Amino acid sequence: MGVLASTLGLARPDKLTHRKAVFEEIGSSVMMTIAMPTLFRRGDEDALFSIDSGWDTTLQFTVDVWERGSRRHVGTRVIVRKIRWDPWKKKYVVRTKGSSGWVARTFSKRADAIAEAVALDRVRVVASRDLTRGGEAGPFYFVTITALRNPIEDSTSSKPRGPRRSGRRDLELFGRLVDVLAGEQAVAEEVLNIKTNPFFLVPR
Amino acid sequence: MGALVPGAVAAAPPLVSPAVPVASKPLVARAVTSGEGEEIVGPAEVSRALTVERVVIMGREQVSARQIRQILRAEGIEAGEEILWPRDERVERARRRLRATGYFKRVTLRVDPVPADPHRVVLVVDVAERSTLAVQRAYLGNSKMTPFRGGIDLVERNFLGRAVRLGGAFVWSTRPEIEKARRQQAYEVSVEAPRLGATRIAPRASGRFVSAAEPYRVDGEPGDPNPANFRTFAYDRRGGSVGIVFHLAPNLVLDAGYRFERIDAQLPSRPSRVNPDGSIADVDLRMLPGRHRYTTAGLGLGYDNREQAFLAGKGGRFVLDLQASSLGTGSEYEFIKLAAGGAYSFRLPWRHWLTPSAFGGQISGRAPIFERMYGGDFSAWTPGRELGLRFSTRNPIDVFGTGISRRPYGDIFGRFDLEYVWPLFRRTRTQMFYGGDLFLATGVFTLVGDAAERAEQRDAGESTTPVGFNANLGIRLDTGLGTFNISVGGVLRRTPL
Repeated sequence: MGVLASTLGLARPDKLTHRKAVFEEIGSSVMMTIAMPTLFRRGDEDALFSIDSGWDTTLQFTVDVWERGSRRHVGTRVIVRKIRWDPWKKKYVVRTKGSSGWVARTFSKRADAIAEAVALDRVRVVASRDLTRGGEAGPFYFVTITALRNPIEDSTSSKPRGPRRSGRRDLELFGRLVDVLAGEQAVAEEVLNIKTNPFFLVPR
Repeated sequence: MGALVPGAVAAAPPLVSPAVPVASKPLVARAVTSGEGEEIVGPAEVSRALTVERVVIMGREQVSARQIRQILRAEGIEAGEEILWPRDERVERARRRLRATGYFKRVTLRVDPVPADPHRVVLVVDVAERSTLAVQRAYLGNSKMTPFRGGIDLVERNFLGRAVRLGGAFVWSTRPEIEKARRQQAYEVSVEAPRLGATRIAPRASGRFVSAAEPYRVDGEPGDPNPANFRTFAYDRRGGSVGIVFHLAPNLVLDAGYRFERIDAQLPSRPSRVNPDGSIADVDLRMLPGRHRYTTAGLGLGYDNREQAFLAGKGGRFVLDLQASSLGTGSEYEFIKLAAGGAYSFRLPWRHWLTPSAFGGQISGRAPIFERMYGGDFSAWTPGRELGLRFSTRNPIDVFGTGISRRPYGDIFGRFDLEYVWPLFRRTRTQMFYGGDLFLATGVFTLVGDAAERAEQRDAGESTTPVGFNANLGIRLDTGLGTFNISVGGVLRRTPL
């Protein structure tokens, strides 16, 4: 019984934002609690209007568990959550896809609904049996979360379609041949990459 | 509780887990009401079919309602149609297509119930527009020849809300530091209409005025950029072009055009230079004297599947440009100019990009000097021509010692580059900054003169195919106002070295 948690930075991958999470061992699973309020920034009208539109705003959390040091990938899980305003019931609805179906919660205030939507509250991240119990001697594990707001699944976004011709016929045209040729499409309207504090399992 | 990892003792907080095997919140309750924060467990929500009573567009300023409705109609969303609530693929696609136009910083498709009928809704398209004005290029710099030059190239991508591209550019300079030289300036306007109706044809037109003071060497070593070794000759160009763009396929366009200009050149009576050995040689200015006509008929082909590159991790672009000038086109010059280039990008396993590119071209006949290949256009470190004007007497740096610094112009060129791109961030097109990339490019190029120049070079024991080196490092920002490169080469090009 028992899980230990601690905040120890400096683990790779370095580009991730560090955020503190609470880990607990409940039964045969390791559960995690963490909040990601920056998925909906206060001034992001696009995001807030999207919620109020009556259509679903989709949040997708990809949760990966890694062994610290070796960077061995231990497990992964994808959590899908949707938030919207129901214009008929005049309520905000937050739905999470679970093993037994969709779990829905309703709220009168948008702020409460957002707080619910961006928090992973005691979600199962990995089975205890997949981790080694080493106590303070390690091994240590950490979790990375890629949180996407309204993931983009098709090719209709990013660049305007079709090439553009310019009336200018000189070498400037060719000089720009390579410009912006490489690059990646945005994968969502907002992307958060988070790395949690490490944790370890207490020996039994 | 103590620290967990050596080296992090001071920072380690106490262990926080109570390690109590308590069950998490009960997720089994099947509530039938939906009170505050109450949970309901069930299968996936059943979609409701709703009839669109009408479509209301809000927040539009410059983008026409017709453009917005066209995108909605393409997804089958209009008054009288049925949509599914709370999720409809067509609504999501329409929203993404509207965002992808780059016209908006916010796009919301909202459903408003019709009070009298629970099965009917008003679909509100609420948009907040962003400027459709984009900066194509910014001209700014100085050189030993020209203390200051500045200008800008702008394009309005949605003029009058009709998807017409209206462009304007100018560059202006102070008087060159060359005896009797005049100030240089150039102005250009262009307009490109969208496709005509259901056809694949789009017309375009442009006009330009160029007032040039073209430098030519009269003294010194061939690679010496000191403006004191140069004189200039003046010429004006007034004219324009008309053309038709054929959209052969989504990624393939054919451009046919005709350019007409009147050139007024004031040439010195007998231009000559003093060679380092003291001999005097005539200088070929590559320009007819006085007022004359210059016209070309052109054909361009462009293939661009960069969008597929974003999705498939590989993709390319190809451009070909052919111009012909002769008595048959009404010109007093006779030449053919062909230039072609291609680039292919592919994503590396670690999600960076590699892009090899190659392009080359040749002029056959006697083209005016502003149509000749210019060395500065190929080197990232050397000032290139801007709107057809040359503001520097500096040639590419001769890294390999093959004599490229002695060849300002040529009739044949070839270039190969390799660019490595490290994507830093990527955001949707409703943000100010769409993306940022770190790029590192390197390559080689060559510039070869015409037959007479090559014979002269062979006689002097020089290479006829000098090779130049190219390299650049910088950040590329893709923004709502255009694409901006902040690079080492950009600084060097604008510095009076």
